[in-house]
Amino acid sequence: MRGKLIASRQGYGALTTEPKNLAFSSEFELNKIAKIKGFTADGSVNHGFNYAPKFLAMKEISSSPLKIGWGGIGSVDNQKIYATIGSHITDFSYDNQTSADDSGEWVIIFADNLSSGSFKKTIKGPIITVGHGNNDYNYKIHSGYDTFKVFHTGRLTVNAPEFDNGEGGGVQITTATYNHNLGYCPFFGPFVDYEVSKNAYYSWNGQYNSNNTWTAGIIYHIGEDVWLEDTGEWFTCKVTHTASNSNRPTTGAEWTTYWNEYVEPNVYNTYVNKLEDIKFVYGGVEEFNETFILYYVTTTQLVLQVVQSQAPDVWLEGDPPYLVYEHTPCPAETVYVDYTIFYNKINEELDLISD
Amino acid sequence: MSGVIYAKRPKISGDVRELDTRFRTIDSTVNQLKVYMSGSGSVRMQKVEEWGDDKEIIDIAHNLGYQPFFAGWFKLATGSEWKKIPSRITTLIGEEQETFFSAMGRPSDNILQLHFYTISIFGPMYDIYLDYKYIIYVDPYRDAW
Repeated sequence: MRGKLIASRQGYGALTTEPKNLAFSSEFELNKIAKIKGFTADGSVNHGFNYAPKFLAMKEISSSPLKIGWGGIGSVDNQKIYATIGSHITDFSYDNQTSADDSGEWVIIFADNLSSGSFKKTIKGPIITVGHGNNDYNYKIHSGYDTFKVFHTGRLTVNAPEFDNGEGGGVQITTATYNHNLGYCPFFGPFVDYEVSKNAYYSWNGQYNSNNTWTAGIIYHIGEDVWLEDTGEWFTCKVTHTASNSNRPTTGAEWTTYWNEYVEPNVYNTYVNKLEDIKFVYGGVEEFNETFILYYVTTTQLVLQVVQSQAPDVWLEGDPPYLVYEHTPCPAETVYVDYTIFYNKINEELDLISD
Repeated sequence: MSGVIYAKRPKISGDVRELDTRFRTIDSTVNQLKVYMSGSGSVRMQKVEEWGDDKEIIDIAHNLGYQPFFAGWFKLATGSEWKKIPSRITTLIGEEQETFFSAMGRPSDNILQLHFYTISIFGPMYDIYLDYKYIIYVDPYRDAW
């Protein structure tokens, strides 16, 4: 029998505890962070492998003060890392919404591979490895590469009060922070984009998940919504299955095994971790009051912000002019995130391929 | 007392026991993200009628009973450029452009989903494959230690 290398959280038995209570284990591969590359303009550089490596990309929203979030537009092929500088909204007001380019992008490259190829770095000095193979990506653990190490977890909650700035409209920003005080921008989870329009999220995901009229023979996946043509009732699939008369909502003998009655989401109580599942659909987004969720790190804080943008009264020219939209308050709402902060520093180039 | 295992980054000098945690590559005193399962595959994207689009969903049962960290990538089967999930790839189909979107879903504590779709009903007819790879971590995105 081969030996094992296992380390557990203090107070938990390494051989008996659940895997999530382990620091690491030879049973589970650790990602091998090989390189961190910063970009301040669109461009590409060689990553150093002859295969496409796994990667992550983050956007640097501003360099002063330094703010970094998820949503970087990176890509890789067998030779290069490609970066595209994105943008973000700087003025959230209804009639003056403006954007600016991000100040940069940070791409994190793993030794772990997406395509076939080979790479084994020259080892200088003692290392710990688990596994074997001709390539570094074959190893489950390789101390010549960095790993994601958890620093702190917790919950941030923003309770944004109702906002009514009258007929002129306006913007209210409510913030919650955690002071990590690491002195640099650390990696963090969940991997939710820096800036999410809450209105777009709920509208688009609702449309995307809607699979329209229930129809026998269709494969419905868990999470999809359908409606019954005869009653107009909506249901949400809870087990992926092929639709048949026996599982048809309300009339099939087994329908409760496969369907729940549809429940409207509470759009004023938003769990940020859920926003990872955002989809894109053309149209269907309310054009007036809007809420944006911002999630990012600075060198001292993890920040969650709720931006409520209240539309003003909107008049159309005429004789006399007439009111086509009368302002309404932005309702109070709660936005919360279960966060993870890692020790790993984002904003510093790293090269463990040649080191 | 339990022992500890440390390894430090190449080219970092000093006693590994005295270094900041971020300079250690392996550290038995902190939680490291651990890969629970990984996988890959190809999905066929097919527009079968004018004014239509396509949506393909892949269920991945991890059965962890909680929401784990996830990372995924995709590319055109005929291409070599990989992008993150979620994101989009625009390509020429004949002489017209079409954009293929990727996304993920967390419909339960035991299943993750990969989603691939197009959103324009005005685009060209297509019949292509997308390649994907993914990682599901042991570690939950809430209350990891």
